[in-house]
Amino acid sequence: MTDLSPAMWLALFVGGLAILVLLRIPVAIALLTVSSIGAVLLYGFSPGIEMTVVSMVSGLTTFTLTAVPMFILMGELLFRSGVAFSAIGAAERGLARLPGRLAFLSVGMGAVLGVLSGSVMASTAMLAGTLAPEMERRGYSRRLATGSILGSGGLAMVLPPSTVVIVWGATAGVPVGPLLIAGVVPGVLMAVGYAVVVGAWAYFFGGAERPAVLGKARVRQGQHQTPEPSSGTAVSTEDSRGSLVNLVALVGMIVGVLALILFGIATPTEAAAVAVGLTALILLVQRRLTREVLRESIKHTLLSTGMVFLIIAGATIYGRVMAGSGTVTAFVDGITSVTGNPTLLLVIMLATVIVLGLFLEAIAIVLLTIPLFMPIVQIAGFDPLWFGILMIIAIQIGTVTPPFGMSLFVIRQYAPKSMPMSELYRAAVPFVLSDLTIVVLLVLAPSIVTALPALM
Amino acid sequence: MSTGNSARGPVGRILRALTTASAVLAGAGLVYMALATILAVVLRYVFRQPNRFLFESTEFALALTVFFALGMVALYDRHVRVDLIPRRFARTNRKVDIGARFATAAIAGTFGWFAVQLFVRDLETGIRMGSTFGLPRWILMLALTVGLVLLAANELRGALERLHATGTDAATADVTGSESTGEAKHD
Amino acid sequence: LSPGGGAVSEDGKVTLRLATTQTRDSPENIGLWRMIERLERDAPWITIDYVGGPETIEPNDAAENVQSGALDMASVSSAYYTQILPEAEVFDLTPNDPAVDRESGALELINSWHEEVGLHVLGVTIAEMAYMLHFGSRWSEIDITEPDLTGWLMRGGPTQQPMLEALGAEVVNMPVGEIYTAMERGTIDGFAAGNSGMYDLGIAEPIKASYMAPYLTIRYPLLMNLQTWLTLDERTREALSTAMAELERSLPDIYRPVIEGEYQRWAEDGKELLEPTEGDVDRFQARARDIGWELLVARTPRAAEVRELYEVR
Ligand code: NA
Ligand code: NA
Repeated sequence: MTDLSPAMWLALFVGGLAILVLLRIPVAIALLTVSSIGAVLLYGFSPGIEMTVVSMVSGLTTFTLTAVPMFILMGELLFRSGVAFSAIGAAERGLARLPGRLAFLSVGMGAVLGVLSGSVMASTAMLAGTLAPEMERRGYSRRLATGSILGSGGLAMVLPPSTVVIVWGATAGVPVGPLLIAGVVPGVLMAVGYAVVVGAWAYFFGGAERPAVLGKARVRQGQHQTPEPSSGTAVSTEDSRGSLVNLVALVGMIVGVLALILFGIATPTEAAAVAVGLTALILLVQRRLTREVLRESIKHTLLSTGMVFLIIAGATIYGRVMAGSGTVTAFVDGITSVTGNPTLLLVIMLATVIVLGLFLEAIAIVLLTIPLFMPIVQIAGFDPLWFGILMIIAIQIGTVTPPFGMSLFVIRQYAPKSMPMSELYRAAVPFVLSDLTIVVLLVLAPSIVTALPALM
Repeated sequence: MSTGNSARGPVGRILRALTTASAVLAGAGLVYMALATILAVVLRYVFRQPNRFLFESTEFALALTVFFALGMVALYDRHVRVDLIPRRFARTNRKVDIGARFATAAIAGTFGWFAVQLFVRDLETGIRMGSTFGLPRWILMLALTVGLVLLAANELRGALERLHATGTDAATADVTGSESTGEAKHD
Repeated sequence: LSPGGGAVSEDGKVTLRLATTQTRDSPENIGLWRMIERLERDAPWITIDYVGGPETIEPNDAAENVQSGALDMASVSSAYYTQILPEAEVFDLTPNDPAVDRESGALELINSWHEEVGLHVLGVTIAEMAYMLHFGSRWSEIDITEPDLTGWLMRGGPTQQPMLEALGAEVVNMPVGEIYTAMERGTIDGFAAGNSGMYDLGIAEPIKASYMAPYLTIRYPLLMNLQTWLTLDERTREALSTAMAELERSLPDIYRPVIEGEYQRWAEDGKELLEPTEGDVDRFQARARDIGWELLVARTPRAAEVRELYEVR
């Protein structure tokens, strides 16, 4: 309806969004506002507004997306009942001989939580809430403490289940099951990378506790004599047998859910709901499913779900209107006219995602970039699974890069009060470098990503 | 609504009660999604009797859950905002923050107004979701309206609270926000 | 100025905003682009402004966007808008080529129902495409003469449900994105889907065999905002109608090679093509249509009028 040049459209979409977001308008509302203005310019006033509102409804009635609140709910139940933490206590005793074991534990726990939860925010909050105060008490350098948590919290996005992977697959039209499985090996490699960073940090720069010789003996006696912090964590009240039981129950649940998918009993989306049911069952058997736990878990699931899905709704229509304006075609034509070299195209797309990660939330990046990138992926002939996982790792980096990083917002609430944001940013740098190394590795050897899904 | 204590006044209490009621519906939607999906798996795998309604209503429940949760997300101040202005510019931050909350309330309210019009129209045409066999869309449009209006009202309350708070109150409000007051009232 | 921007300007130039519910270069749009090319050549005063495919317009909202005037026209699968017009299902039940249905007056009758909800049907843009059954590893159990799917779990949309149930299958609902994993893992034994486009949807790989009896027609009517249609001058309407009628006559020739190419690719990929005799195919199709008509007429009795026109020859 209104003829604007591609440059003007781009200014509206990017500039308009940036201004609103900088003025502290919630990201979701900013996306909806800019899109409805775009839709009105493109399609006329009432048709444009109507399209925006209707798309909020039709965009959210998507079965695949129901896995997102299910996995968040599962994580909340495990966290609030103390089961997750208790299981992790068992793991900590196994690491007693390592220097800086809490930092290592953060990585290991990040991987375990990553398999239990689909949300980086949930995982980072759990890691920070349980480990950050304890690391501070034991005299860890605050950079190592927060850095290891920021790094390993991101594993939840790459290891299945993952909210972002599900949304990515559903939007790009790539089968979600294989895509989730494709994240396993890269996720484990990322965790190994983080462990190397932590080990090197503790070895060369110190800042971590020494190996606990007593810790092992205590486990053998099955007693608790350590003066525990007043924070009263689950570990301090739980005997090690209970911890072990919880660890076994959790591992059993993960195996059970994977088996459901492998034997074709449930689809990956349905498996999320079954996982919630199994979690509730574990809690019920242990008499941990109190009304309080249930109510708080549901409440916090709703808070995360409402927040994430309003962004999904906003980003969906934003992407559509941007596509309708011709900006997308201009972008794709622009990039592909610059180069036809697949490697260079890949680097450009990865760089775009990392730059967007400075300013945008993960789901928004997924929805914004897929219409831009998938045509290029087709032209370049990339394997969608491989490309998807590279994108997810790059998007995951965005959770710890300032000024807008969800993990940064989360850890701010748990990090030492005297620690400025700038120091938090620096703490994450070695872990980001580790991720970039993994990305290079996956680019050089795509079979690391594609081998496992191909086996299935 | 003219004092800083609006949250504790009758209007504030009513708003909180409505927001909570809406959140309870959202919670019911969440639990429904889990139960209906598990039931669907059992019916299909054990009894080989798949059920279309369970699938469609689960999709439907997702949108209902999200819309009915919007008010609570605003009440607890969880809608994602970006902080770029350094904390030491407390005064600028406070002004921007209050302005943004008024603006958010206005925008959400406007969308709510459009949503209610579509709700009325959907009720008249009887349009369904996806196909002639889908569930009625007016239910979702109604839920969206409720969500947007509660979002707007809670943002407005947040703006007014901050506007009338004294300097020191404002500083603490920035850090803990409605989160702490919200938790206290809920428990 | 019409609501959708379908403007007839001072100098008689017309610009029409178009969207598709399949991606721009998908086979479903081949006929459409050919028609538009010809239209812009024969009627140079008309410009088609293409806004995009499903990346721009949610396919399930496309007809509604034409109604509202956001779009002047859209090529929309009839399965995407039965929530607006239940009678749109009659497109699935035609046994004829598009040109036959225009000639018999069926299209005109169908259009009159569309006009009640603010839509004008210019014509249809594909032929030869139809729904058929695809199976996983259990395919060898199938009796090709008279398939009995009792105890089978088949994925299918609401349109396919009645026939699948008549064959004895239990119908599973799941998103297209999950078909791949569900077939691989045996969650479902098969699914009902189109007779082409399986590779684009990413669900070709787990198909082990297909039952080569396409049984319900797939149609993509080209819908226009009624207000826009009424605003257009006589020569523009004439040009559009002529171009559509011409397109419809050439549709079988356009789409037969597309479908044959797809079938050939299946065979090359080692998928079994389960081919019943011509008589069996006819019986299978007639059965599917009978079931479809019975249910549709129960919901909206006037649909029966179209059936008579379909069967007039
Ligand atoms: Na990370
Ligand atoms: Na995960």
